[in-house]
Amino acid sequence: MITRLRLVEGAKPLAESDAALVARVRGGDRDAEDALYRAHAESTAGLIARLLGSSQDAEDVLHDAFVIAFLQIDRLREPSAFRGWLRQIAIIRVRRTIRRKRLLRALGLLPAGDDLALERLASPAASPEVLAELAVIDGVLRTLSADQRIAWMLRYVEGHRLVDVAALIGCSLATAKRRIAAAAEAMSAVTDIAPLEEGR
Amino acid sequence: MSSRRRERAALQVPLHKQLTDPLPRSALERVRRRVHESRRSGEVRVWRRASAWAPVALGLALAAIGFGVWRANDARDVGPLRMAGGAPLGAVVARTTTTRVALHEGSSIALSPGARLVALENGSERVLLTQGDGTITYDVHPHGPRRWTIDAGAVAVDVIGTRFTIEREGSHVTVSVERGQVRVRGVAVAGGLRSLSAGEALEVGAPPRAIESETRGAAETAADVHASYANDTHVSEAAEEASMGESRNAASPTGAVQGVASAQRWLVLAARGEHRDAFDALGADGFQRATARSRSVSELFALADTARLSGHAALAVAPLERLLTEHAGDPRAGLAALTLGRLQLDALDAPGDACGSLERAITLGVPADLAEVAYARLVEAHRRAGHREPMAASARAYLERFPGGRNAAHIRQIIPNEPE
Repeated sequence: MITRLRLVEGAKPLAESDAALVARVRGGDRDAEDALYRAHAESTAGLIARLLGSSQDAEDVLHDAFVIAFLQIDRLREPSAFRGWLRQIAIIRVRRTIRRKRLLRALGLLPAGDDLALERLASPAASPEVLAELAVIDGVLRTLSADQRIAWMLRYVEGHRLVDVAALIGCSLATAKRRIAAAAEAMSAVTDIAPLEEGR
Repeated sequence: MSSRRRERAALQVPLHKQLTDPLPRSALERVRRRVHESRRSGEVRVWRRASAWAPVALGLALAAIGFGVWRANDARDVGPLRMAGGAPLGAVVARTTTTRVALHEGSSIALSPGARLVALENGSERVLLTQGDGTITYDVHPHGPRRWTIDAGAVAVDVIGTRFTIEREGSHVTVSVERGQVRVRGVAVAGGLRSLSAGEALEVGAPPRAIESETRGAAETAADVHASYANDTHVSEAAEEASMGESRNAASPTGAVQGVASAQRWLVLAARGEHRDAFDALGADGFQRATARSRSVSELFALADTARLSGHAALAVAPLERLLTEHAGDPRAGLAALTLGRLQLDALDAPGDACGSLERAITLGVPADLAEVAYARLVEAHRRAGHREPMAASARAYLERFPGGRNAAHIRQIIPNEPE
């Protein structure tokens, strides 16, 4: 019965819940860590996996992001902003992972190919045309720098606003725009994706 | 709106709305346990930072060895054809510029603007590609381990090592060989088969006409469009059947012609990916008649897709079952069985039927990229059907074949005795 009451309490706005959980984590409450994980793991894992294109690497980065977040939780100035902060940490790890893997592949120490190409993530109802488009986009993404790939995907795959892309990457708005534009230019040679209007 | 513009419209941003969740819940649970363990033990994962750079240092020291191993793998050349960057050759679309795809074993494919190519099968020994409208030049590395076949609608081209070009516009296909030799198959080819050597070309089918043309022109156009799907159906016979089927109540000759155009319009719409419009053009009765008279694998697939993607999942069963009954020897039969199994499992809530279809897909063989899906869905089908023993057996078969597969962790939970 107590559990049910807690569930009802959990229906309060997410920010309050996060702030409360962060406060408990700071007090050494491991159950609160678990609750924060359950609240944010799924969405963060989806983001990481799409950015990386690899399920194995996604699990590693997800693990690292949460461990780092819990270790450094005293540095979080606004406890209600835990979700965005966690994603910032995750994206830094994603960027490192992409660069590391590319270097290892260049040295012949890592086999080519990842298991989560965009077309493999397509919903079962996707038409052949959509699959083909996603395959083309995935091919272009593999040729981009890690920074450009991440910026473009945050914008066009995840649908973040430009200002949020900049915040997640940890760069200026101008830099985020520049990276997205460079990626979009490469993309425009092989496929047509209408620019997202700001605000979407 | 042109068909190309409609294809573009099919891809909506942000793209994640058209994607599935990449990680299963079992993976999230596994990571949760790892996070908990790391926090409990107080381990700061310094070792991973070390592991990130140790291979780099090792790689610099052993670059020559790594390069040798890499080359050795290339020489052995197992697995699917891969593009630059390592991704298996899947689907390629050339939009506004010519697109050249370099493959790992030395072959290359150049697609003219508007051309589209999809790999139906991509393995160590066989590559089956299907080419849509447009011009594509294939430069196939000679003496490779894979047997290439290109399905271009009215003809299929078997290749060993050569350079040749296929131009396709509906049922009108031209194959021209620059180097080496190819074998062209199809009912539209005199004698059913012809070998082409360097400098030779073969043109099959009449150039397409506008679909909206009237009277006799409309009938011919409908026949052409039909032939692009039903290459083993006599063209005039198909058009005549279509006009009889669709215009039973049409008293005037003009009505009959309109009936032909209407009967074949669905094929044009389906080819554009406009499956709801294609189904509306056929109607439920027309769909069943088309299923009953279709004789080609391509048309049966088109019918199934039209039903499936227009929200009439139950109607997609008949063309797929007919395909499996009458074309079990076709290389695409396995794909049809897999499609049927997924349909029964996801849309029709018939896991018992899905078991049979998925087992058949595995027996017939599916493209390499889809094999993991077929095995995993079979486990799911047995689980949902309550088949305990078959479920355990299929789970073991999955883990034996795909120990690192996307669904391996989830399936290990189903049979907890399996070592992780």
